[in-house]
Amino acid sequence: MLQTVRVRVGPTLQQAVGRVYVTLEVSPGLTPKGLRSAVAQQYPELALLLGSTLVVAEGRVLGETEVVTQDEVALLHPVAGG
Amino acid sequence: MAVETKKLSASRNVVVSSYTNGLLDPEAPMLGPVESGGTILANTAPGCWGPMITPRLRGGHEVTQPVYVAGAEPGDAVAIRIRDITVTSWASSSGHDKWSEGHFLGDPYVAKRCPNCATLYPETHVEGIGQEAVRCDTCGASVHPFQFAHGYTAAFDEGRTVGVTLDKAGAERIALQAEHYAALPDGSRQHPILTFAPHDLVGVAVRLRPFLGQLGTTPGLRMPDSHNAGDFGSFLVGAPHEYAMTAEQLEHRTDGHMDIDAVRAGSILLCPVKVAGAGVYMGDMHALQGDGEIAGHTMDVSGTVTLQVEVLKGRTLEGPVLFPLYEDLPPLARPLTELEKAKARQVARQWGLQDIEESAPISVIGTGPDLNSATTVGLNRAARLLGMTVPEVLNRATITGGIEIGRNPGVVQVTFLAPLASLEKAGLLLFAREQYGIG
Repeated sequence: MLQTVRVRVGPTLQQAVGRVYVTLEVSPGLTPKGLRSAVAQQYPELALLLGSTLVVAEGRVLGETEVVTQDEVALLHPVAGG
Repeated sequence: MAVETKKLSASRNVVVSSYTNGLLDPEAPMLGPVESGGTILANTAPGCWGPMITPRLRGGHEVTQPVYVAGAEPGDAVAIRIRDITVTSWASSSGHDKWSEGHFLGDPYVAKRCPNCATLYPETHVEGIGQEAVRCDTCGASVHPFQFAHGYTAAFDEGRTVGVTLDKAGAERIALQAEHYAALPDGSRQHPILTFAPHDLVGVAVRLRPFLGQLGTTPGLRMPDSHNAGDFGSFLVGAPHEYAMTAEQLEHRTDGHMDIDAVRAGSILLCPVKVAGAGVYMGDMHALQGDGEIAGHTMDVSGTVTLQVEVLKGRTLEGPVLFPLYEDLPPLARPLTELEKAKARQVARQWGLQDIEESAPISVIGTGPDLNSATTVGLNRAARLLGMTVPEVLNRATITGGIEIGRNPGVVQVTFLAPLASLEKAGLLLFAREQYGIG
């Protein structure tokens, strides 16, 4: 059974894909790396931009080995500032 | 044993005039100890731009050496009453930045590198003035991880109440005596940003309203100081330099870098304790700032700070909690006047209610990789702190408070009127009573 994940994409990705949210149908047990691959497969225009993104859910950056169980996540580029 | 020694020799007052090299490290020596209820007096160095152009500093800020507070253990909280914040700089340069490729490894705030000899964290010196004035001691090349995309230099009046942005001649006159006009503390190791003499805004008059961009406790793991928050901290996850962290390690942060303009004299800040002695530190004083610090930077200044610290045993916090000055509360979070309460009671009785709820303001801080995430974090923290559901916090923040942006991209205040019973149960009523005369 597939899992539907709504992905909110950060500003840089929004410019490339032309929208704030993308929706994926994925197999359960996906890690952040798998989620990025699924996004790249479905939205090839984002593929080159996904390498440095963080997968964020419930306000927290998900660990790379963590399973994405949430229905909604965000794909964000990290920002540093002063 | 070291902890026991500190408990025995705690001082009523601790004076701070030493600084980190930009890293908050729980293994590094702390000052103090200061006793619970004691006072910390500090001379703070400017944050942001000065450290940003100083390659030897590894954190984007040059915060004070942390102070050990006697009796504080992980799982406690420290209440910090800000008694005074005074600007000592005569002038400040700041503005929107641009990063210089080749002058850093992955993160220009943390890992600066000479573009010519590739020395990481090179020792540097200043030659002349302007945006190429910082030079590598080894090869002489200009090292500038950052330059101004649009910058300004402001001079302040004697009383530090107002400032005016200067033209090229004024900015360069100040740049020639940058350390003097910055009132750089003697122990500071940063190059003063006044050296760069930016002057893209001229004749703009501003009102000073100083606050601390950094105030808090030492995180549970070593991290660059400006990254001790959920937004900038996320830049450490998978970073290519030696201070990289995993997503799990980032949860050891204490969110001391808030850039919330309500963290000013007269406010009360409660901070989580994640290391023995808490390690209270401060810095990144700003002369003024609008909500959001939308330019990424504001006027960084030197200053003096007086804090009173108190250990709250067993009051575990997930993040900072603020009791702002009355005038810094969003309009709906300001307690109702006696007249308003009388009218509300009349309405209540007309509709069969015995009385109205007694409540007081509280502001819970949330940080995250972006503002949506920070808001989620703040709402969850508030709900758990006060024993409410998140939907209840949503409703209370909507009708008796608001969500305010501390810093874009990811620091918010979730502020609302909380029932006195909830505040009392959380052990926080005494602060509402002290700050607002309620309860």
